[in-house]
This record gives sequence, C-alpha cells and structure tokens, in this order.
Amino acid sequence: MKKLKVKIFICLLIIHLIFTTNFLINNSYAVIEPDYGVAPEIDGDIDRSEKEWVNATKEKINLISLSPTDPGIPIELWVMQNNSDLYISIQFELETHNSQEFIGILISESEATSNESFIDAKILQFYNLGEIGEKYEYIDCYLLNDEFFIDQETNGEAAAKLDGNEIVYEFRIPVNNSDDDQDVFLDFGEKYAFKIVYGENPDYPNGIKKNNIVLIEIEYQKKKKENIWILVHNILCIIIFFGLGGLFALYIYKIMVIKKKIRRVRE
Amino acid sequence: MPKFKKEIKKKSESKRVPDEKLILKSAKISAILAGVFLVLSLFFNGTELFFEGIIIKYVKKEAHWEILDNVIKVGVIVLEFFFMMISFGNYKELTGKPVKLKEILFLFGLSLVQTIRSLIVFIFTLIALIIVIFYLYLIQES
Repeated sequence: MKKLKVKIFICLLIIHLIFTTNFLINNSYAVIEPDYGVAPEIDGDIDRSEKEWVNATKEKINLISLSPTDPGIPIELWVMQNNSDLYISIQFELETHNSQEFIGILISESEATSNESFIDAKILQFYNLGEIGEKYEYIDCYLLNDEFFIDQETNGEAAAKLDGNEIVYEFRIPVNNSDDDQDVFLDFGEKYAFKIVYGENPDYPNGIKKNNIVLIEIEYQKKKKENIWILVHNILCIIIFFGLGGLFALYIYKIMVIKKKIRRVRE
Repeated sequence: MPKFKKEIKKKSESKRVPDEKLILKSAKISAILAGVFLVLSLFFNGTELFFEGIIIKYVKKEAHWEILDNVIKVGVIVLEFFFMMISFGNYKELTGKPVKLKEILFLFGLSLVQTIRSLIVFIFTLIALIIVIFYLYLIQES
C-alpha cells in the first residue's frame, strides 16, 4: 500500500515537472522582450564605463549552416530599445576572420519565419578586415522573391569593430516611425522574426553561410506604476509580513508555555 | 546476580529521553527553521529591492537567472510551510489533539499570502504546497 502511495507521489512529481518544462519552453525560437534604456552610441565599441547596453536583454544563440557537421558560430545577441529605435548588438569570436565578412539582420513582416516573410534587410559589410584599408559599409535593402535590392532611402545605422579575434557589431533600426515602403514598419506590441545572417563575400543572398532566427517583441514603454498603487502594495506587504511575524511570535510563546507545562507535570 | 541485572535496567531507564522532550525539541527546531525561512521570504517576496530579482540585478538579466530568482522565491515559502507544518504537528501532538483540516488550510493561506507580489510565484507556490501537503499525508502512519 505504501509502495503504491510512493508511486502515486512520483507520478505527480513527474507530471509537475512536465507541466513546468512545458510552461517554460513554449517556442523553438528564442523570444526576446527588450527593455528600454539609454541609446548606445553606434560605433562598434561597448563603452562599459558609460554603462552602454547595460539594460540590454542578452541571449546566446548559434548561427548554423545547413551542414549537420557544422558546429556553427556561437554569438551573443544583445537587444534593447527606446521610443524611436531598436538596438541590436552581435558579438562573436572566430579563430581567423576573413578579410571580407558581413552580418545582416533580415526582418520579417510578422512572426512568420518562411523565406518570403523576410522583406527587409540591414547589412554591415566589412572589406579588408584586419588589414590596411579596413572599412565597412552599412547597406539597407529590401527583399523581393529572395533577391536583395538596395533601398532608395537608407534608414538606421550600423557599426562594427574587430578587437583581437572578437568582433562587435551594433545596429540601430527605427521603430514605429518609418514611412518607407521598403522597410518593415515595426509596431509597438507586435512580435517580429529577425534572421541573423553571417557571410563573407558581398553577394546576397548567395554569400550567406550561416543564420538563425529570433523573435523580438517591440515593447511599449512601460508606464511607471502610479505612486498610490506602489504605496498600497507596500503597505499591504508590511501588514502581511508583520501579521505573519506576530503569529509566529505567538506560536513560539505557546511552545514556551507548553514546555513549562510539561516540566511542571514531570515535577 | 539478580541484583546486578536490576541495576542495569535502572541505568537504561534513566538514560531514556522522554517522548515529550523529543517532540518538543523537534517542534522547537522546526519552528526556528520556519522562522529563518519566514525572514528570507520577507526579503525575497516582501521587499521591493529583493523582489525585482537580486540575481538578475547583480549577475545578469537572462531568462535562466530569472527562473532561478523565482525558484528561490517559491523555495523559501515552501520550506517555511514545510517546517511550520512539522513544528505545528509536533505541537499538536504535545497538546494531545490532531491537526485539523482548517488549521492546515490556515497555514496554507498564510504561506500563499506571501506571494502577493507575483502571479508566477503564486501559481508555482500553489502547486508546490499541494505536493508538500500530499507528501506529508503519504508519510503519515496509517
């Protein structure tokens, strides 16, 4: 009988674990909800003394190719936003960087991740990387039938810097204020699929070697809670925990009383 | 020879710790542990500084650290409830009465009220407390 009870208990624990796991992992793509913060300077340099990117939501993902043996490139993805822009930083380390390299961000018009859903691209292309005459170019494109066309009007900006083997890319993408038909209009409260692509030669999309997708929700600025509600919340907490403390003290007192009673009975 | 035997018996009787003393000791130790977890719960679930997530605030704002923060919040409440139940059960045994369902529900409510600041902490604490009560029910001697 006891064994049966233990089995039931173990079954309940397993169900609880499955429920919890299901609750936590509900999507195969990483979902990022960026926080608001002070706009970082887009210069390819993360100035820690200035606390740049301090509010960024950080995620580690792998840029992968179609080959199953390819280990991929592990990248660190930092995302933050303000009322006018979305900021994305991509950092990774390679044993050797090619003299030409690019990172692109392909933006879907929705959460959809099919190829035709990605209609906008922001690319930072490096030339002569790590050599004399190193330079980079920010390219704003739109996609039509998987072909890349350069936008008539360039929106957003990007910069990058190579330090040793580690490279830092920084992008600024406008939100909620683009009248350009060739850009995705990123609306507040909506989720969009972003495809991060890596390649070397400036040939898009044929030069894309590795990629991965993340979902980013463009957040509304969180309104600060009304002071009165914060006050009510804090007062409630004080009452509850003082109450609990009082009850606990009463309980300890009762234990002391019963201790004395036992001693008296024994005597 | 019989005299010697009698002496041994007396010695063993004098060394035996009375049951009430053991129960009282268990009630006291469990109550102290419950008190420690109540204080921790006050910090993690009651104060704003800790509640915002002491780990994500000082380590890294990442999903798994956030989960760890919530696990700590749920964990301290559940442990406080667990030790309080043990202590209270022992206390009731000393008074010679069984623990009533309404008393268990009262302790259950007192534990849940500590989750006032977060719905996620409330949901997971609710599930965990039900499991703890079920566990305590199972280990009862029938």
